[in-house]
Amino acid sequence: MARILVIDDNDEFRELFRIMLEKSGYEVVEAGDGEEALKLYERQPADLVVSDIIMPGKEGVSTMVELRRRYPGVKIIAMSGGGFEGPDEYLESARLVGGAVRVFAKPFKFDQMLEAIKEELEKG
Amino acid sequence: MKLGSKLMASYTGIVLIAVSIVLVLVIDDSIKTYKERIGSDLQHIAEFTARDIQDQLDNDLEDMSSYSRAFVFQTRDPGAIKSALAGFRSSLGLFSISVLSPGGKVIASTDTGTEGKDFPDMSGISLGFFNRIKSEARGSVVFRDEREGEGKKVFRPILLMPVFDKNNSDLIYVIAGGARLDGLVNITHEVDRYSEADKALYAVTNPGQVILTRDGEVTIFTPRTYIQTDPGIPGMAGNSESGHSIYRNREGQVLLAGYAPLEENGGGFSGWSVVSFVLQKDIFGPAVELRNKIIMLGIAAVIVAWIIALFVSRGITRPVLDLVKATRQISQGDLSKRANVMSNDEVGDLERSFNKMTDDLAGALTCLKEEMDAQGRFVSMISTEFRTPLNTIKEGIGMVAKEAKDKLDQRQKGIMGLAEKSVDRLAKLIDDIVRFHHLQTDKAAFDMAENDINEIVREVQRVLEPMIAGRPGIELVVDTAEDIPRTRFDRDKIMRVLEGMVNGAVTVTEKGRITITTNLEGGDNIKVSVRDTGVEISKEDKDSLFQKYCASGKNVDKKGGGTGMGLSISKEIVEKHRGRIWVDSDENGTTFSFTLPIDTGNQ
Repeated sequence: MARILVIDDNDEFRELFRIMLEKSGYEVVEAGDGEEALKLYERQPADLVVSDIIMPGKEGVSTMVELRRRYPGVKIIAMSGGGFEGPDEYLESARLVGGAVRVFAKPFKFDQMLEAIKEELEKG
Repeated sequence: MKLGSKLMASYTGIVLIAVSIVLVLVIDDSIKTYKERIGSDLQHIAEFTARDIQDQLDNDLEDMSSYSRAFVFQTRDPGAIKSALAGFRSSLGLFSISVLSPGGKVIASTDTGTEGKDFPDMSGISLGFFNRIKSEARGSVVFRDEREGEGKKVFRPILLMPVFDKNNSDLIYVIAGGARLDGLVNITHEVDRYSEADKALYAVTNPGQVILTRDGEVTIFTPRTYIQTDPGIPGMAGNSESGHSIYRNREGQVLLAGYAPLEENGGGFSGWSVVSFVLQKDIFGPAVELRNKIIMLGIAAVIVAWIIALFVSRGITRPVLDLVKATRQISQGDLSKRANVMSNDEVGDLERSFNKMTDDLAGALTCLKEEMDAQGRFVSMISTEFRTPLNTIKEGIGMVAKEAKDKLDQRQKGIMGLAEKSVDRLAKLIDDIVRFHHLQTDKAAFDMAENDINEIVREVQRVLEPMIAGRPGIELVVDTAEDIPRTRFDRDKIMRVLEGMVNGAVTVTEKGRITITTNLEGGDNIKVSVRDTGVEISKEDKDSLFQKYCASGKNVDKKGGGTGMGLSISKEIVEKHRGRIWVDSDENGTTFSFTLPIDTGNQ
């Protein structure tokens, strides 16, 4: 069973996400920010990371950079609702700097997200 | 009741007291004046009376002298003498009359049965005295003490008149006439205008004794009944001059008295006085009564004023004490506290104003808090929004610099390095702002636990070792006191404070020594100091060093590393621990110190 690490500072969103993913048969680990995620990953390496970008504490882009530095093969999907100027720039940052394989602007359709996760995991 | 009315009531009481005192003083003064005047009148009465008594006795003596001369020249026969004596007595108005031999034997007398005997009952007249005065040509007056039972004395003036022979050389007889003293003192002068007749008195006294009073009683009681005649009190005995004075009699009654001496008359009146007196209460009774009433009124006013003042002060002090209490509670942060409005006076107004003010204050504080919260949210948001792009820039630059390492020339590499460093600094500044804001708005959680400060010092020393190693000119010395007890503080935050201090010291010290010391200060504080041998900090910089958002010393800025927020954050952390933070600086270097109260968490 594939393990997915979800990083998001919004508890309700994470909860919802977890339920959806578990329904689809994934094991889910959750982190509220980047620091927590890095610690978690050390103990429970995930097959895929889905990370929010704008978070208090350690934000998404640097978390992604750090994750990829430590675990070069890690696959990351980034998602963001954007700040003052909308999510595009952030998502672009996550892709180019953070090395995210796919990006999603919040809000997104869960089906699409599940589809993307499935595809990325199948790629291996 | 308004406070003013209460105070007015109290004032009225006080005014009443003052008026009473003034009235009493006026009455006392009047009484004193009148006492003086009455005393002086009584003195005149005594003088007149004394003169009248003397005049009458002188007249009697003169009459007796002329009668006796005529009579004696007519006969020497005792029988004839005796028969003539009765007419003699009545014409002279005497009580009795006797003819005595020069040796003091009665030859003939209107008192039958005394012939041939010694002149009877010559108390006060010893034979020696008789022999001395019997030749006084003008005649003498002596007093015979006739006792009539226990305690009663009758003094009778005896007029003694010598009779000489034709040649005026040999004493043949002495004629003794008993006068009526009651007649003498019936002379009424104006003493009545001061008193009822039966109370106004005058008396003839001899040394220490009251002899006679005006009310006709010739027999005078025990001498001290009327007047206490203690030795030394003038007027009662042996006065050579007239005067007036105040006495107290045996019953404790106060007497006003005037006195006048009776002139010596053949020795008989030696030391005798006429005293006229009135009882003080007969004259000043009403005035004294009024005065006492006023005093009572004054005392009543004192009590009433005191009671009112008590109520007024209670009406003021109790609410004021309540207010003080409320103020203290409010100052301790309990803004729900209000004063109880109990009265409708000015104090009540004060309480209402106080409550209104507190309401306003609470409202303003709520607004302020909301504003602070909004500001806090804004700061958080800003920082979150800042960080992502910043990190993107940072990581992006790092990546590009790494990937394009071979393609960049020295200058381009320099620019990339500079960009990285600037972004780092910007990120740190944002972190500091957020942290500082959290500290200020009490959002930062303090992880209070018992810790050993010396351990923190060693930890900081260990953490900073690599940096110190990179600065060969600097030596880091640790000098910890070993008797420091463990105390409660937030390990990470205090470590950050100390680290910041050492970092600052390292930054400003080109070459020299940095010393970290710990010791106990005053028994209940731990003091931690970081001393460097760097440049002196100016007075102005010292003052602004710990201020919010204020850049610290220029050297810090120049040498880089700090954001200028460090000391402000340190100050917040130390003060949240109820400690102090300060800086001392002179030409030998600078010492940053902070204290932590010793708290073992037992309280």
